[in-house]
Amino acid sequence: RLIKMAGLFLRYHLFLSIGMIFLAIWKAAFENLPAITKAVQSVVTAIVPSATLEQFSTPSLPPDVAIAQGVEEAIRYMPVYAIFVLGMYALSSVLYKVATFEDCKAAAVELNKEIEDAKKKLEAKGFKF
Amino acid sequence: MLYSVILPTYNERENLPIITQILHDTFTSAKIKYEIVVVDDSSPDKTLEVAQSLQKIFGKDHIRIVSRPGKLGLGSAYSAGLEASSGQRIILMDADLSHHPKFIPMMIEVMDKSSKTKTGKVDIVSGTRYKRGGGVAGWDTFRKLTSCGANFLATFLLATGGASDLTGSFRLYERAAIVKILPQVESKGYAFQMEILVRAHNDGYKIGEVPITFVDRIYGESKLGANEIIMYLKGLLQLFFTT
Repeated sequence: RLIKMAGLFLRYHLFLSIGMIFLAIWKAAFENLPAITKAVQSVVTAIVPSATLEQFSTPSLPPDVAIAQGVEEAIRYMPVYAIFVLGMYALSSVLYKVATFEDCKAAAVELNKEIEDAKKKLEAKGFKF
Repeated sequence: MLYSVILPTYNERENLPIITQILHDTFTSAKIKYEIVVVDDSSPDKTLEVAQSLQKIFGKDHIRIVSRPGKLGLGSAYSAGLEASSGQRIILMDADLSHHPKFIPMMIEVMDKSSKTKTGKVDIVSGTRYKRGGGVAGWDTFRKLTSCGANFLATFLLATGGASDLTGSFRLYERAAIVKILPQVESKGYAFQMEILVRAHNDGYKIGEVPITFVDRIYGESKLGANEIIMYLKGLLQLFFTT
């Protein structure tokens, strides 16, 4: 509300700014690709035992290169992944809501009885249907 | 404190007497002063005459009638009803018995108790079908899907003050709130009810909730055509870009 009072900050401005921040992060990721690749390479080789790494590599595709390719691909398709995650969030929210949606058949039954009671009361008061 | 229930009617000659009787019972047993404002859009089934005979039975101080020359839309029906009403708190609900009056005292309690809570006084209590204790009778999975989908879209795209059921039409309003909000609302159809809550939040009003059960009374007819969906999306986008 403070932001609204500071000027005319509309709802779509919020989405626009989030979009712009995302684009800025994306651009920064591309510009720092070598540094990011090196960081991911050191983390992976530190955590994953060399035996597992050997399993996933071929003579023409050593672990370091495979990781570098993976990092490049992940950054290149970042917007697609983001939209995918968003879509999954939307889908699971809606499906959860539908799954937990309460059916109240009892309310319908109760209503029918109350309609009959109301009709009797009205006729007693002289109402003609 | 006087409570005004505004009932827009079109061809409700069967349901109007019943809902009037149930409302009367609910309010009298809760010892609440009430009035019902029937806003009839020249129903061909003579709902107006039914309203007039109900007026004789329940009294002119309990039943007010606004008769309009034709089908002029829900928004203007609410405005006309509001103008003819004298209550300090207004209840807007459907006249076809899909909304049960028994939830009204619960809404009043939520509103009264809210002044003592940390979050503060609520100006609107919205009946929600989506929370625990609420629900719908008579909806198949497809209908539930479209309802939840539409609601998700709206809560994601718009600022709605935490309300969980945006397309519901069973709510209790402080008079000052609804009088300020209603003139700002432009959309029609399902988006109309949603816009009320969006504008309310925009104006700084607080919204409380009560789980309600909704008994779908329109059997067999399709209330949800492609037209309604397009109107809803249009209303949504309009609010997205203008609030």
